[in-house]
Amino acid sequence: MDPLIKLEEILFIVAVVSYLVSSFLYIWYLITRSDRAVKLGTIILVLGLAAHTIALMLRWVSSGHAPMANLYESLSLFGWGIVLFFLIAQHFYPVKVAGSLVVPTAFLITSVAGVFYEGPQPLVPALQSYWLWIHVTIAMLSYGLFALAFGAGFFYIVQEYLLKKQYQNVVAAFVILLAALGIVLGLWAGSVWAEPAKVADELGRIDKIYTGEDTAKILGGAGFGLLIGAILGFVAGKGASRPGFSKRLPSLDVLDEVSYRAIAFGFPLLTIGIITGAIWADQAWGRWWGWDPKETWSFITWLYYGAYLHTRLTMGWRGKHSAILAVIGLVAVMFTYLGVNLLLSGLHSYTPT
Amino acid sequence: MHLAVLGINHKSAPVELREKVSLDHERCGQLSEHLLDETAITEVVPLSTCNRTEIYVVSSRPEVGRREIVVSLARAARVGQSDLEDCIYFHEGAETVDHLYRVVASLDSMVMGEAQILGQVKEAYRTAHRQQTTSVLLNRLFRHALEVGKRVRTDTRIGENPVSVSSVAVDMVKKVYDDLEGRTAMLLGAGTMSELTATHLASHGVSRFLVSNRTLGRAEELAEKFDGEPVPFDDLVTYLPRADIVISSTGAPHYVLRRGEVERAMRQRHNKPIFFIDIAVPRDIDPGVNSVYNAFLYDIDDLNEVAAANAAERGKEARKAEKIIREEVDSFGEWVAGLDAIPTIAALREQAETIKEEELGKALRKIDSLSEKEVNRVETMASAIVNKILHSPTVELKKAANERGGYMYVESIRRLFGLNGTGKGGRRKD
Repeated sequence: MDPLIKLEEILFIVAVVSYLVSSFLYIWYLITRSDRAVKLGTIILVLGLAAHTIALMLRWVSSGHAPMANLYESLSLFGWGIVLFFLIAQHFYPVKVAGSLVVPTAFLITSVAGVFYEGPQPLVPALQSYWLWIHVTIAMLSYGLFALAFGAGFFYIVQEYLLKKQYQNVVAAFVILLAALGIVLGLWAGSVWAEPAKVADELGRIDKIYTGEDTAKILGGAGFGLLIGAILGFVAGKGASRPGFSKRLPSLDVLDEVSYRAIAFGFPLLTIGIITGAIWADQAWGRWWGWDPKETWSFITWLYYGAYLHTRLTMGWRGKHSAILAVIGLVAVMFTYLGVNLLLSGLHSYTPT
Repeated sequence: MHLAVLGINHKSAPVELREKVSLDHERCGQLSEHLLDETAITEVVPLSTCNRTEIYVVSSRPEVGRREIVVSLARAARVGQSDLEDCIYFHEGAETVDHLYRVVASLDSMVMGEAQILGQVKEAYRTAHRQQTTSVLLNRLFRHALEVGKRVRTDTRIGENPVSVSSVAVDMVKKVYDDLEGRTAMLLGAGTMSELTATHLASHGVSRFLVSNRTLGRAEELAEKFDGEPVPFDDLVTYLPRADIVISSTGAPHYVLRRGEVERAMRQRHNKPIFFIDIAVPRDIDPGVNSVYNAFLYDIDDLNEVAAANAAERGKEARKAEKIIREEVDSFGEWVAGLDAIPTIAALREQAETIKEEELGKALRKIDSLSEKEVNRVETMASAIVNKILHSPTVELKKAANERGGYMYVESIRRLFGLNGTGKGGRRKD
């Protein structure tokens, strides 16, 4: 095996392990407020990011294109971006507590990238273009902002329940969140486990053929994820349900503002992402828009966040209603980003032909 | 020199006695002078706050202390000696250091974590320093103590979680509104508790106050105090949409605000949040208000519950503070040990010997024509020079060790010869 690829693999694993250790330290900080934990967590996170950066650069060199072409590269880059932005934010703003959510998210995304690991491959000639990194970077930035809006929105809901002393609802919020996450991860794991047969048509589109057994595996994975997620959510929710926990979280004002601003920036970025995608599609496939699943779902996501901004700006929505919209919005984002590729067939399948 | 402290505080004495023993600047000064003039005491810092009066002293004789200070304090406070005897505590040596550090870290305060004590200790020390009743030991002790106090406040969260009902209320409001600047608060009923909470809110930036009371006179009075607007009690619902925060403490036997009224007000203010603080018993505000969209309601039990959780949090931080204090007491002990004459003499001689050996070695390496006898001669000369130079300081230091204020010589020698940090003296255990 090429030593560069071997080195990339090792560095990637170092990064994933660092993120995991750092996640525990940040969660420990949330519980105990131990400054030593957060200092150590930051150091390990920085080291992990350094290893991750080198891994991505090696991948860029060995594949000859920006590391955005398959699911492994895309997710790895996404996790990297989250850690980078978080470390910068932590340097300038008091957001250490948010690390207990952000760092585990980065760990999760990066380790899922590992699940979809593929060696470097050259791009199909039709896609070899600078539009790759323009389109993908913009699209991923908008996803990242929607994810931020989701996080702030979720904590808005938790904080509101805490302030209203509705502790059962706090538990319910955590259970629903982690159960949903469990389902998504279970679906992923299930579809990897099932390995449906792949058939490519004359255009290079990939079709996945699911047998009854494959479907059962996927559903089983989802069910298992649901169970584990619900249990973890119950434990986390119980832990947060006490008077005085509200002061570990930012004020409702701040959470509402962060969630809103993230969408206010994310929406135009998504718009630009769709437009650049159309331009690139015209160059690569000779048409602007073809209702490919990715195109369709990005359009649905665009409409959804457009509706969010509409309720906010013209109908004066704020607070919990907006927060709920921001939370649900991530479902559309996740489906556009990952679900389309994993569950539907189409041109954006991240799989080289 | 022997460190000691004698004092009374809220744990050892009833308030009637503490009031009497609480001394103003002038009487503190007189007490210090009396102690310095009449006894073997060489340094004094009196510390007097509303909950404690303590006299920190350095005495040149170990047996002088407790009795003399009690006599002087009884005289300065004009109370009977026997009354005082039952209510005082007395610590000596390292326990004095430990006590002062605990005081300055607010671990010994009535409300643990309160911030005033640091300033009060600073003020007491400054006054004593100005009146020249302190010297090397108490100067060092108090300066170190103030640093310890600051360190405890920055390295632990002992002062962060409020434990009084009115500051808990403000804390909770700030979890809804990040910034209270320019917000409007409405006071229903004009009791002392709502006044106290309003004062807290005003210090956090709340600038507009609406005051409503059964008797309009009292409302006008309170409104004037906060530069606010009196509101007729029967019209309060009309004014409700303007309020971001409502503090209620009327004596009414039934609810003053009902859910329906709050719902209407919320619609009028386009669902901007309102934070209701109900400190009245029986309650003034319909508990159903809490389930109105963007309305938050805290009654006295809720606030007490948060206050209790915060107090538990402070307890945890106090354990961290204890650890810091142990470290700092040890480090002060090391410094004190360095003030002993014997280890200083040893360190001084050791330093001179090292220099002698180094220089001899250098010189002898360069001159290789010397016979063994000549080498011995040179070595003897070098030793003689060292011994003769050190003879007088050694004798003087030994003498100084038994003299009043002699540690000033020790400290000077350590500084002039750069011996600090190299002392081998063990920790002083007294």
